[in-house]
Amino acid sequence: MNRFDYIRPVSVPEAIAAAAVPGSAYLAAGTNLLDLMKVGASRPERVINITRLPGLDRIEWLPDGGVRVGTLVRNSDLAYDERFAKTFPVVAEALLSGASAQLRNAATVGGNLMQRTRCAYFHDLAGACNRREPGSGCDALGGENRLQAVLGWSEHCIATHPSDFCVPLAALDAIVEVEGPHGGREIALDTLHRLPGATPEQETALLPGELIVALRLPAEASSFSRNARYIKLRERTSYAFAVVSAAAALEVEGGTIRKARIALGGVAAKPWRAREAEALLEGKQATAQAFAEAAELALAEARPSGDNAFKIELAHRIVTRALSLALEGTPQAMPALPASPFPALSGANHVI
Amino acid sequence: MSELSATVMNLPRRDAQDKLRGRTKYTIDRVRPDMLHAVLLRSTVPAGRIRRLDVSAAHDCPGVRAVATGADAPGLYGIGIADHPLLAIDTIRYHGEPIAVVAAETEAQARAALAAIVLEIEPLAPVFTMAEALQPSARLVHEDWRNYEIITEGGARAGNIAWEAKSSRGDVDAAFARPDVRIVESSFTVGRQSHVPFEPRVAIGSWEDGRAHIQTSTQVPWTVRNVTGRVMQLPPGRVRVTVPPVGGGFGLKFDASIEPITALLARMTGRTVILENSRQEEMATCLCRENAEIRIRSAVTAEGEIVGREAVVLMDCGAYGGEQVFLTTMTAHTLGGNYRVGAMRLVSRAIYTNTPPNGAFRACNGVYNTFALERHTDEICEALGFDTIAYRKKNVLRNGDLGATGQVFEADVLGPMLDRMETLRANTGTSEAKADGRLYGTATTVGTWFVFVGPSAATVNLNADGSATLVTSGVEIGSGTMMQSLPQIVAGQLGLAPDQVIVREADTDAAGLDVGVGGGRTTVSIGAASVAACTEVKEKLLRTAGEMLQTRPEDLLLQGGRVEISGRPGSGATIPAVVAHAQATTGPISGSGAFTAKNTPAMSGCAMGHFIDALDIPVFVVHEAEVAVDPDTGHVEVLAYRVVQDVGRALNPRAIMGQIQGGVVQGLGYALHEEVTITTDGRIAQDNFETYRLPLAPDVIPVTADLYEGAPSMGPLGTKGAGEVPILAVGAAIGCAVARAIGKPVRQLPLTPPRVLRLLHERETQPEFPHIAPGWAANTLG
Amino acid sequence: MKHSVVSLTINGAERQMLVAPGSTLIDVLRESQGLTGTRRGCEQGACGTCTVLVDGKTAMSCMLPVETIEGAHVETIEGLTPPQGLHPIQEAFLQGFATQCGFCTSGMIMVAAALLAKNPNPSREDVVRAISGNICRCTGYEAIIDAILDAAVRIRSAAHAEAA
Repeated sequence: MNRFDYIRPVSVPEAIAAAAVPGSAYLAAGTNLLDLMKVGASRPERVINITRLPGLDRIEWLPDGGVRVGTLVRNSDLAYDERFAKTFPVVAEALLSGASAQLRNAATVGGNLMQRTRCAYFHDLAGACNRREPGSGCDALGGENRLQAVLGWSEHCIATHPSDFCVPLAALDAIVEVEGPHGGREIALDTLHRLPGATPEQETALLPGELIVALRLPAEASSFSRNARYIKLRERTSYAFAVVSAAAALEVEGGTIRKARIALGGVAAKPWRAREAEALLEGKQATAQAFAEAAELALAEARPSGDNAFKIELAHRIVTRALSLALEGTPQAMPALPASPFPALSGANHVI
Repeated sequence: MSELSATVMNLPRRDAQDKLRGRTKYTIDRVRPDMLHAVLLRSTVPAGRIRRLDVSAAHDCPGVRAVATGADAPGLYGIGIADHPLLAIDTIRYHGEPIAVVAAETEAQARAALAAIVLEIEPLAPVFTMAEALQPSARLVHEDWRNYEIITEGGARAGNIAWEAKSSRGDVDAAFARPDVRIVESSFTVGRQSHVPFEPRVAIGSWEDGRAHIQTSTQVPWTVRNVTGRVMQLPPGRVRVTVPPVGGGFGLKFDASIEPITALLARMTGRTVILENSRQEEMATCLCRENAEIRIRSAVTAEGEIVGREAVVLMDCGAYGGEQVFLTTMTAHTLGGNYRVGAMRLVSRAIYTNTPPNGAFRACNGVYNTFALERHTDEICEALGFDTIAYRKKNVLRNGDLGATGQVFEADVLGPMLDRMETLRANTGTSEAKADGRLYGTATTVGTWFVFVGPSAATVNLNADGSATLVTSGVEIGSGTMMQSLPQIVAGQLGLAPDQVIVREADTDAAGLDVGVGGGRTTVSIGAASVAACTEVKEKLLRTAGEMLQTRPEDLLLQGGRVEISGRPGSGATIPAVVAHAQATTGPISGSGAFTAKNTPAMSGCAMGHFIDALDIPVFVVHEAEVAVDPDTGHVEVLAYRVVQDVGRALNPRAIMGQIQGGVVQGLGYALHEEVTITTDGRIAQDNFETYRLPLAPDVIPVTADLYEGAPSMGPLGTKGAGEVPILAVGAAIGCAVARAIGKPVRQLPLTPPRVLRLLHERETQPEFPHIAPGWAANTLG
Repeated sequence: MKHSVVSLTINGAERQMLVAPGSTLIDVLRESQGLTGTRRGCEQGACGTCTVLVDGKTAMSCMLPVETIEGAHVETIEGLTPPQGLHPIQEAFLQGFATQCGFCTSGMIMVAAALLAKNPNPSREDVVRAISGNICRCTGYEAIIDAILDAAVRIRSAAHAEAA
């Protein structure tokens, strides 16, 4: 690990002022930053511990039925918050499908949003990575790229965003509240993460020194609570990042889809909202064929970035399956294996 | 009470209490503030020539106490051939190869000093695959191969072929030329498997009284002793190796690796030096189960009789020969096992490549050869229209059948075991309903393995408090043999309770030669040596008691911590009283015992280049898997897993069940998701737990097992090793079941979801080996 | 690079320590507190063997910068172990043959302790889910799952006996 200075601000303004110095990084639970610092993929000169900042660890219900979640709320606390899980079950399911119990106990909402890609070349200092070192190239392009992006990638970077949590958040129009050197502002979660283009090192819409202080889910998002699922394909049942995943949320009335929300994970450098597919479903009968058409449309622009054409097919099937499972209804209790693609859970014995 | 009934019990582990309290001190827990920390400079290229190596500036860095290079330990080591330097000398052969080492007061200081080492390497064109290595024009990974010292005679060698073992029995050409046979040919390829013992390799070296003392996390202290002597050019007797509790081995620690470096630095500094692999180093330089390529063809009659069989097995040894040289031997016994075959010839080659060296891993070689043989058998059944279970029942090895090297198998074992599997299945029922619309497949497979017998020594001291101290070079690596079966055996022999048996930590200064804990040999070999030691102890004890009790020794028996006159319970004396009497009259009571292989011979001329010509103790398994495959995603769910295992005699049935569950789960990882790939610059790509996918609790199922007792064994009380073999046929059972489920041939492992999807859609490139010649002669060195 | 002073309550005793920036809880436990029962596994939060309880919740001590848990109560395997005999979870592991090499054992027991404190009567799925971040390379997990279920019974019946 490189040498760094360690700063413990006691207020948000103090933290922001400290972070204005170049080479600074915010530290919450550290489950991602510390890992990157250990391998040297991240080398901040100043680490700003925000875990002591007051008032950022609360779940607040807004008068209109929306919710405001402080940036320091732990992933497990949010997922197990009874009202939250009931109101936004698809978010809770995504949270519980990620990492392991110990990591969820530590990891924070803001940290999850800000986590970096798991691309092996980003972590491997011996290789070229435009995201880690602008202009150095992208070894993933000609390397092991089975798990890399199939949507929104560029010749400069084919990494994916690893978060499960962000996928339903993108689908449900979540808003991120940010404080920065020039005051506060709001960013739609869907625009928080950037596609790589020619500047993959600019991973998010945050400006230098800006700090996420809270996440908001609008009241309208609660209308999907009865028909919403997050489905995640991975190569092992637990502690594995998604190969592909999908959040699907429906408002259904007498077999007709009133509203639909779809987002995909593991396919792009950001959680991938599929608005055209949603529009296609609205007003239609909820049928397998409609779901397949929606999936088709969601992936219309997908193209392999390497040896990963199979991910497009998989994503298609997972969107379809997420939609049909959402139609079947949100489970009364959290499934034994959250986000498992298998409808019948005979026991915890999937080897995947 | 019979000796057997006094020995068989479900004894909990005697070392469990400390482990459960977190008190156990593994090697890694024995670091002390006054120790130096060693850090290795490793190669960052896969192949090259060292043009300049100047460590003088590193000596001047803060805290540095010593810097060593290959010149400081010039001896070469290896198994069969001495081809491996401790630190690279002149030539770099793999990415990660140690080149120099720094010992400093802190690890950070040692690491910082690495930057001061001047190293210039002229890169060479790397040879990454066996196909490349076998090209006639291939660059030699070891240019100097002809000049290496041969430690074991007999193997054919040439250039990048580090070792070749060959077996041949009967007229194979004639069998294949018969007009009444169908020829079935299959090719298989498998990747590497990383052991991931939780405690990484770590050693602490000190220099005491002109000798090296190494504490290390090893399975085989005598090899560490001998290799250290070899590379430091010392008589091995000047090296002492002691072994604290070991946090898992699985074969990775069955060879010396970093240990001699600590001895070298200790000699240079006079200080105690610790060297531990980080998790990344541990995985990047893991002596993995080797990747292998197998072509097998059989001549089978319409009735199913296998009249001829021929196979070529290529095993990637990586940059150095290591265990693969030895393991070429096993092809004859694994691929050549399971079935009655008329004429058979098999060749197995260890191939050098510029990749990290491979090594031994639980049921080495057997795991993939069993996968290949069982899938090939299913392909035979498919081609000729046989039921796979009925075919196996008809063709498995029976009493008097010949193995590949002409060994005669005794007794019917596999046949009755297949019957027992049917009973087990009838009892458990099948799980097809759980497939729930997915593709369902089931398969019953068999496997042949062995006990790696080899020499062991034991001493038993009987103490005046009635306890006995067992002194051996056996190491407790987690399997429980040293903590359960050995104390049970000694206690059973001496009429003691197992908790009265003290097991001495392995120490090459205290106990005689032992070839290590592995190969399922501990209970058999150390057990037999311990029985022999107990025989001497018993003889002395009964003689002394006879004098005390005025009774003939043959009228005395040992039970419940007493020497009793036969037929008169309570008439004798306590063991402590007898021991005290002996100490005062003839001296303390102790006994020594030794054991080694009986070296069952091969049929004359059948085995060439083999380290083991025939199996002293064969071990058989029957494994059955039921799987469901999701056709949309390619995910394989294991619905049920059943095992019938030949254990000879189960001394601790619950402990064996634990080995079976653990071994099968390791095998499920191998079969389904543990994947090692080599990067374009020659590294192991999966060097952490995120990318190397070990099974976790939600990935596994409870295994149902039946222990088959009574097959012949030279082991004490009829035991066989039970810990190694449970992994043997998992790749086979899963591979065959998945093939059945998807209706496509499975010829590669692991069966990751993307691979299964490609197989389903017939987009998978099936293995073809242009570097394996069509004819037999071109595949052997003659 | 300034060291900072951090206060923690470790196994019931208040400790103040000087730590370098970036020091993780496991560094402190093993190196300055001599609590080697917490094992180092992967150093990246992927294996669970270094699990301890921080304010009653499981945490991977290799991924926890000490500075971020100022004032926390930390419990390790040494703290869970009673002065005499074994904790019911340890007893269940012993009787259930649930430890082999023992390197994952401390982490498994700490996870089990957190689970049973929250859920005294877990289902098999609850146990599997709870230990799903913990790797065991020896046992194939079944003995551990069974032992945790058995520990739940032992703890419940002990509590029942006490109440009666």
